Amino acid sequence: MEPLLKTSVKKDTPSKRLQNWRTTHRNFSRKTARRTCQPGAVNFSAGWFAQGHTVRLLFHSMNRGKLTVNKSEKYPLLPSLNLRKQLYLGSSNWLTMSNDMERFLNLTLSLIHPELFQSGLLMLKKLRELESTRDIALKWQSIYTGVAIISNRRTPSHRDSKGRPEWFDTLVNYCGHGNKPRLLIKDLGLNLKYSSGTVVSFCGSILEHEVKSRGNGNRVCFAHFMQESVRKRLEVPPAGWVYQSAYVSD
Amino acid sequence: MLSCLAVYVPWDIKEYYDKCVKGGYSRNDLDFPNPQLGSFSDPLTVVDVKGRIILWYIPGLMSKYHQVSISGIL
Repeated sequence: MEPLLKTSVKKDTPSKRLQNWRTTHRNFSRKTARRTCQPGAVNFSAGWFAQGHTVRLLFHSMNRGKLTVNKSEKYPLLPSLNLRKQLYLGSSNWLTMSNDMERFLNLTLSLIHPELFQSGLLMLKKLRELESTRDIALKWQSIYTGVAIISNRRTPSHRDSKGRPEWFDTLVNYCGHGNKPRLLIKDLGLNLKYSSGTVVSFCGSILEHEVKSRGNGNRVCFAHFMQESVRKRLEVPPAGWVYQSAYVSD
Repeated sequence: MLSCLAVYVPWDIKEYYDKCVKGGYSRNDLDFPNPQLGSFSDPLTVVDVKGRIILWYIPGLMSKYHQVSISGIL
């Protein structure tokens, strides 16, 4: 995994507008004697669209001076490049070594958001049937279609806008001794102790969130997400809200 | 049944999303005061005025076993 994480970190560009806070080097901590994990942020997906390729591929031609669309094809859903190309050994390791954690998280989601679990399960089933995603999807265990591994990075306040408001993103946080992070949910004035082994599932499209880290130790987050564009392509019904009444007896 | 402390938000999360997050209106101009829920370290759910659960916080859910197996990935 180390080479993948290392190559994910990007140098600053002259234009701040073009910088992506998720990968710009200024948001990552340097390795130290106590912070031993390679800093970086890598996305894995069993099936998504390449960046900017969520709608249709259009073929144009000029006809009597007018630009016309001859053919329109859907962009294919594909696993992330790092899984397709088996970039470094870390990618295949990730699929096998994360199995236990992902199955456990699936069970957790089936309790805390049963409809989202069902939607995710159906998406994974369909990805396992598509020729372009089958090989990776058969090894992929999470009912989430994407997982970001974020190592030793500061996370500025943000919302994740590619999901639906009713959906939960699920964050799993691990940290070593000497690191005492807090997860802040700004819209709610909520400040959560973010100790190792903590799982937080929440409406990430709505709630602005930030992680503040103090200390020297490692901090690694596994952020699980789904994308609305993928759900639409797979024609899976969207999950609705989860209500407290499902858990509280009268 | 899951046992978890619940804290409440005094507005509708869907309206908040439509008007403030998507619509771009300032929450201060509309009726969405920040509830300032405070600091927590025990399991928690956050529930909106319509009974929707918008956040589950489960500290320590992942065991040392999972943590050790994950350390092998990195």
